[in-house]
Amino acid sequence: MKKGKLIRTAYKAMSVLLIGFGLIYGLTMPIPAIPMLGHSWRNLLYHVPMWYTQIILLLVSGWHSIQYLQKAKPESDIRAAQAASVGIMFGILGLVTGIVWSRVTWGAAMANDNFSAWWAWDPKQIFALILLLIYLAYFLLRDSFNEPTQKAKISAVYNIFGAALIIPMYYIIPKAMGGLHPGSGEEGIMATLGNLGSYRAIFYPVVLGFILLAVWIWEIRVRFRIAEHKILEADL
Amino acid sequence: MSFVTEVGALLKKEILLEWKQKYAINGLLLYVASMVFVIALAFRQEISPVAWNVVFWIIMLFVAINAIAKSFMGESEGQSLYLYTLAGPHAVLASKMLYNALLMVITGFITLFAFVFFSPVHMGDPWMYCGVVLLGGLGFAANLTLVSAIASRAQNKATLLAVLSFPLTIPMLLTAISAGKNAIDGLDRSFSLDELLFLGVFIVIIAMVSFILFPFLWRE
Repeated sequence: MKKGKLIRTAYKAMSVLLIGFGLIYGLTMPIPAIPMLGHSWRNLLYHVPMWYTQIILLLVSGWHSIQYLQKAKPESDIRAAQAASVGIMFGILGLVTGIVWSRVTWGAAMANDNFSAWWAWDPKQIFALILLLIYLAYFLLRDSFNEPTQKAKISAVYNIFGAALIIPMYYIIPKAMGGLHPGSGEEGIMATLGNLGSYRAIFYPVVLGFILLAVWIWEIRVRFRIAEHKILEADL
Repeated sequence: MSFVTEVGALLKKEILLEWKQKYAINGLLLYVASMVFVIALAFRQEISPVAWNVVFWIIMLFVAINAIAKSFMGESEGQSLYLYTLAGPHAVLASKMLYNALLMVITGFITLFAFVFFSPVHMGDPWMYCGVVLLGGLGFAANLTLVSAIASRAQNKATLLAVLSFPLTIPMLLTAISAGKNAIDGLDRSFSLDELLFLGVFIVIIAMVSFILFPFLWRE
């Protein structure tokens, strides 16, 4: 019991430290200007971790939905729903930071090119928006039931079905169009930053920090919902 | 009863039911005809082949949602309860999926003929386009059958079906649009091989996932 508490305190402290370190050091450290991006690629520290965090939370949500279908524990349903909702939050943050970044970098060019200056039609951007639509629909589905076990079961089925469709989507959308992201998915972002090795040592800890922060938010929401669930059950 | 005879009997029941209450299929045909006519009227002769292809697939999307919506919502609760005592979940899903596939392929071709009739387009490779329509119809049926089963349990069925299915059909819709464009441009068929392969694999994966998930859903 005591060990569990230590771990819970430790990961929260670590999350604060890592994100705080990323915020302060990432904004103040001297960095080389990359052609075209200039110094705007400091945003890497805030934009890219959102994506990692969102994917991990959605995977966790799918895993708890599978658990629910196997064991039918209400806690699994609460965990799945809350992971999806925190995932949506990080997805929105990822979209917003991405839009700001592309606006700063390509805004002028896109406006001249008869394109929307705010929406770049980048595959990863489209993919993020589709994920958002799928999981917002998941919450609409949850709101459409009154009976709790029916709601839990049917939304778990939809969650797994949606997650199964995400994988083919990840292959087909980047193929359908070129993009703004480095490496177009083949080499990944780190290949572009290959000769900026020291930045890598900051990037991964910040990613970890945001993931821990998401787990923290998720834990709080899960505890709140479980308490609420117990009160409702006691009332009945 | 073996699985195959169960599916056969259920499929026969679906078709007979459809034949008896003609309003469903007639309603769908009228829906296709009016939608195609309105769109052709709005575009007149100004539609480019690229836009024609995209508009065709958007029509297909709406027709599919309308057609497949009925597959689980058409039955009353008593009816489905009786049905579920007679057959297993996999037979029920298989029969619905096959029926939807049949319905989508037929209405897909009717939509294609109606659209070509009202606003002709020069097709480089018409047979290839028919092949894409065939695969696309199967894809819609595979994709939307389970979603329709999910939505039919909820209170706001119609909105929910549309909202749930739009994001989930995007991969196959994009693939069908790009394969269709290749066919209209009359490109060599080897260029579309990737797309057709993807559609095929996609249908198989979706059908498999649906079969795994449906037993959790069907008695709810």
